[in-house]
Amino acid sequence: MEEKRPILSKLSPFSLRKLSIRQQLPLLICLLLTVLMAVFGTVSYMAVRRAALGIGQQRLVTLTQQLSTMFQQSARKLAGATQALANQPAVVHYLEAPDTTTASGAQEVLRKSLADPQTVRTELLDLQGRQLLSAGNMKVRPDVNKEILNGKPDSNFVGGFYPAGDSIYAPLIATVTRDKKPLGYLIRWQPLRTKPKDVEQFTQLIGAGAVLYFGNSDGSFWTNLLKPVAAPPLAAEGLRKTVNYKRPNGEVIAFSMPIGSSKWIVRVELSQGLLLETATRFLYWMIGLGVLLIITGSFIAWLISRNFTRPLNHLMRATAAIAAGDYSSSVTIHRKDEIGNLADSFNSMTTRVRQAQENLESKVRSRTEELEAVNRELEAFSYSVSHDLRAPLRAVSGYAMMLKEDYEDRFDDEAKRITDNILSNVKMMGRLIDDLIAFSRLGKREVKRNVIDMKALAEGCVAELSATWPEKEFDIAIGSLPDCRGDSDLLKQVWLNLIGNAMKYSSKKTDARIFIGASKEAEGTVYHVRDNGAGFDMKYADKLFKVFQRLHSQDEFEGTGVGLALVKRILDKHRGTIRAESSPGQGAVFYFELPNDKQELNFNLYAQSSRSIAGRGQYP
Amino acid sequence: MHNQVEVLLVEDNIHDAEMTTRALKKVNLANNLVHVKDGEEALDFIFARGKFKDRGTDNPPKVILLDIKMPKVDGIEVLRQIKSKEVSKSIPVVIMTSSKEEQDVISSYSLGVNSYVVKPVDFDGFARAVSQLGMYWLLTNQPPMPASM
Repeated sequence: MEEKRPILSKLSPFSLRKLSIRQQLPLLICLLLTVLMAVFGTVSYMAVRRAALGIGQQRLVTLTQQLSTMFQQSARKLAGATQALANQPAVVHYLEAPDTTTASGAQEVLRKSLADPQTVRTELLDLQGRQLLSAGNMKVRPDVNKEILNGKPDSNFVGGFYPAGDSIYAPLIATVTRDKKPLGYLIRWQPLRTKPKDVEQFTQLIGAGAVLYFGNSDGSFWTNLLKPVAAPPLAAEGLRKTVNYKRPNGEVIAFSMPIGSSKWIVRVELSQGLLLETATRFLYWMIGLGVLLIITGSFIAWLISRNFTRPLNHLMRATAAIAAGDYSSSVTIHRKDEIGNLADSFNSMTTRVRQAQENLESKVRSRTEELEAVNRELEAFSYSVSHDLRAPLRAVSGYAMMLKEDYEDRFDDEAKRITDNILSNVKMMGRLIDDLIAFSRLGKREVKRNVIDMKALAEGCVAELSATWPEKEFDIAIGSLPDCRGDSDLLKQVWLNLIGNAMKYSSKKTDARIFIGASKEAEGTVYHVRDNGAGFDMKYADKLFKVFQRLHSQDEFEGTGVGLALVKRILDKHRGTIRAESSPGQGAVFYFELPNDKQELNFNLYAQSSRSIAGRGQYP
Repeated sequence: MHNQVEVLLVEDNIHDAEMTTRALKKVNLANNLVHVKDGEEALDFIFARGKFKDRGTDNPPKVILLDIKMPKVDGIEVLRQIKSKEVSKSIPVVIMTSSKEEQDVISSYSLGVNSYVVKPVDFDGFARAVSQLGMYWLLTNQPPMPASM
């Protein structure tokens, strides 16, 4: 689970924090505007579309009604003209009393009616729809009259379309009456002579890519007034109902209505695309406007965020400069807002930090001067000690010696013993003074950092020390000693003391053996000196490296108690450590560790700081 | 040219002076030794001034044994004056002092000292050092010819 967390956080959209503030604000504004524009645009487009469709539908219904009325009027007009023909007395007479005389009168009326160029056939029917007389050369199906009369027995009307040959005909029916009593029917056939130009005019009048269909009310025939056409889709759905369907050119809506005084239906088809043109244009406007708004908004947001981040960047650079130790940096931001206040506070903070820094530096300087003064006093002191303490000591030694030389023959044994004691104590005191001065000088000693051949150094020390024991044989073995970095003069002192001690404390053994070796550890190199001498009790181990602390009496082994303290101080200066292992009579091992090169950085820093405080070292 | 001063001992500490004289005497080198007690007297002797004005500068000592820490004029100053003057700069000067201070060693050598010896505390060592010095500078070393010759 825990391993997945970073992956999740990487995928999170809120990793916005990785972006700079200058990028965040414009991005957020851009996102916000996009979402807003998308929602607002969609909602308003839907509303506009719905409204446009509603308006279109209404217009469709109105148009269809208007067309229906218009056609009804012309149907009435035509029917009226036919009625005039049906009211001719000759026609009425014939139907009242059909005989050859009346028939010829009626036939004459029919024949005359053909003078009208619109009329291609006129016929007279009895109430059962049987043809009695006819004029004109248009041929019709024998049963068509019954179909025409079906359901419309007593009024004037225009019958359904009747295709014959290349033309479409329409029958105009009028009832022949006598004293409101129907006697029969007169039918006048007229062809549809609509020109494409007329249809075009109609269509343009209606607009919106309207298509007109006329059909028989029984749905048996459809025409566009020029030629027969296939029945439009969903024609069977019924009248006075809006229907939607697809045409090759796109979605359409259609509305059908009967035309009064006729057996016709008018159907108007409108293209939805054209009806929605406004809505579509609105959508394009919205998109254009939205894009413009998003770009402008993001740009303004970018300007604003830049306005914020520029002074912040100034502050950031100044802070980084301070972090890098340049306390002189300040920011110049002339604003009265929060950022201006921040900059002012920052500047006053910088001033305070600079003052504190200067204060601190001057304090360090004065402390350093004080320390240097104290150091000079100490130097003067040790100078006096080394010079003035030696002189009287030398005098004591000198006069004791003169006494011995000049008056020895008059001394008894006790006087000789006392004189010898004076001399040996003077020698001891001289050594003490030398050791103490060496120890105190170490404090101000500058530690060099050279690569040292430890093996050669240790061998040199062994040779030098062996010369001081001319009468004693030591079995000294030196193992492999890795090189190290340090001050060879000081490390020589370490070897001299440790090897010297090993020799001193094993000198009373008949087979004195000393081994010098080393081992590489993780942190550094551990060198050791092992002897089989007197050793010491580990419970006094903490006293070993303290000045003037000795674990053996002067009678047993001579010494000032300064040597190991000096060694410890030298190793401290090298950032090294020292420890010892022993038990009485079992010999002793002294281990000292010098750190590896990689820890030198710290060492150098330490050495530098201690040097700058302690002043110039003057020990040779 | 007889009776030439062989050793000029400049030493404020009479005990050290006595021991030096005794050590030189043991090897028979103290016959023509002059002991002065401070730097001023030493300069007077070398440049024949003050109470030594009748001595003349044509009889320089064969070697000057010079202590550093002295009243009035210290050893370093005496050394500077000796080595900076044409009449005296060829006289061998041996600094004999209790001081091992590096600054003393460095300034002595830079002023042209001929030897720098630290007095051992014990008389044995001290006597050995003094007699070796005397033998070397008075017997082994070939001094320059005096300017007057």
